[in-house]
Amino acid sequence: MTADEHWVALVRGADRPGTLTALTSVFSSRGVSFDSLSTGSVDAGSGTIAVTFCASERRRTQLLRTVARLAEVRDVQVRRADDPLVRAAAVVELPEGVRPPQVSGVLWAAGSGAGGAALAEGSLAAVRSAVSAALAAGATTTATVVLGL
Amino acid sequence: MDIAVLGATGDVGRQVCTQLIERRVLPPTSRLQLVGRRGGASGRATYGLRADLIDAYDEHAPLIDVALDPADVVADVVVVAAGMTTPAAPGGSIDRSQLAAANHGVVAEYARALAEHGSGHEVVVVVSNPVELGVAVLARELGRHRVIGMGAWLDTLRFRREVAVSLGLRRHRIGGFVAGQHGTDLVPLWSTVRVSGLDAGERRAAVDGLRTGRSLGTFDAEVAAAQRELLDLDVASAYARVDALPADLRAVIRPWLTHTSGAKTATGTAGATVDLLETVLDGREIVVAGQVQLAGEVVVGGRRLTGVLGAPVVLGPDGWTRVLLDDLAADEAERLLACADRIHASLAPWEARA
Repeated sequence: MTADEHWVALVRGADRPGTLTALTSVFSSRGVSFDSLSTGSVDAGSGTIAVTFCASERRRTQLLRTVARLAEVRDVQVRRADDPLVRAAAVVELPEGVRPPQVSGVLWAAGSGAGGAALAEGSLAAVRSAVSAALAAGATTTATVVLGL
Repeated sequence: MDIAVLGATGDVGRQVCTQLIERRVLPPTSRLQLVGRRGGASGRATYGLRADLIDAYDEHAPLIDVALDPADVVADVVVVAAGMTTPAAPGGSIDRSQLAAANHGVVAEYARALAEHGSGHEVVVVVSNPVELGVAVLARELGRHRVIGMGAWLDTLRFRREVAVSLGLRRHRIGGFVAGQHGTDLVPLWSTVRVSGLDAGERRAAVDGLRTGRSLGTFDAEVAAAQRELLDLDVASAYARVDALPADLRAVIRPWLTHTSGAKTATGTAGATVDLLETVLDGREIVVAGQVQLAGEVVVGGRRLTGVLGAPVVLGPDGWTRVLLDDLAADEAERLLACADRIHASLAPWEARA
């Protein structure tokens, strides 16, 4: 049996009611849960939906072939979640006096000082490491979004 | 779960699509993929069929997708209804080898595409004739347990109905199976007939009354004689004559007459197909009859059967599993073995090319 891996799919779909339902139904009806789901900006009638999920390579192929057949979907791209080309950003709310944790490959936005909201950007794997470190340091709120593949 | 219908705009394919939606087998969140041929008339009509189905069933239609390339077939269950059929006209017939020559390439192309691009788990229901050839081609590419031909199930439903009519019952009160080759070479398994509400003795008496001492040894001759006789009658008289035939003969002759009347048998064929699809989709395992590729797992008349044959099997979400051909009567075993030989002979030229 093939081991499951983590994947990121960037789905470009029509900006209309039902697109997200159609996408999520493909996964839920096959018993595959999203690790995360985020929507990007809408441009010229279509928008991007980034999902991360865990599946074998064979199931990933079938899931995304099925997603690609949806009338609402214009384009699907997928990469392994640890691929450095998968870019992400995260916001963490750090406790007073705690500085953003330094993780290789992660840039903290200017103004991300000790305590308060801090914005990190980098590969998804590096950003996740930074978020984990921030949580360990007492961060209370985090949000991670996939920016692109 | 998603279903792809290859040959969606044909008589049977269109009916399968309609019944899948009408009977609400597919929920609105599932996808029905209509598959046609790029560049052909079916390519254009497939888009039209999609629009027509949505027009009719928008309130509860599933997602409907059009694919015109075998590589684009993506579904959990695939219905193979592509290819040509016998002419629907009085006396119209086409040799099964001609039909095989016409449809082999179509089925083989889809089989290769599914093997290359598929999930490795699709269940395939073969409707296209000769159904035995379709099963052989697809089973070789995809694995035999994932492929079932619906001909034996259609024959079974027809047989049950004729038995029910003779006993003054509705079809759902009758059990029993038809095996063998789809069409005139079928094998009605009288020994498997069950009648709801009758105990074993009562059932034996009822079946004996219906068979009137006939055995399957004369079945081929009776079919041929009935066909000759009906060709000389107008359609209304022919149907009246069919009503007077024994139940097992009626199971063969009535659909033959319906097809040659020009009405064809698309509705009944699609109904039986959708029955099988419902079974595959709902996760249960039930006993149906279907054409399957045997590999020696069953012994009939002292002979271990291999090759494609219609038989009662257990069908579930991953395809068929066990074959149930126990304790056949002597005339059933004899006809089934002869039938297996005829199928083997008809498939041999195609097996040699593979």
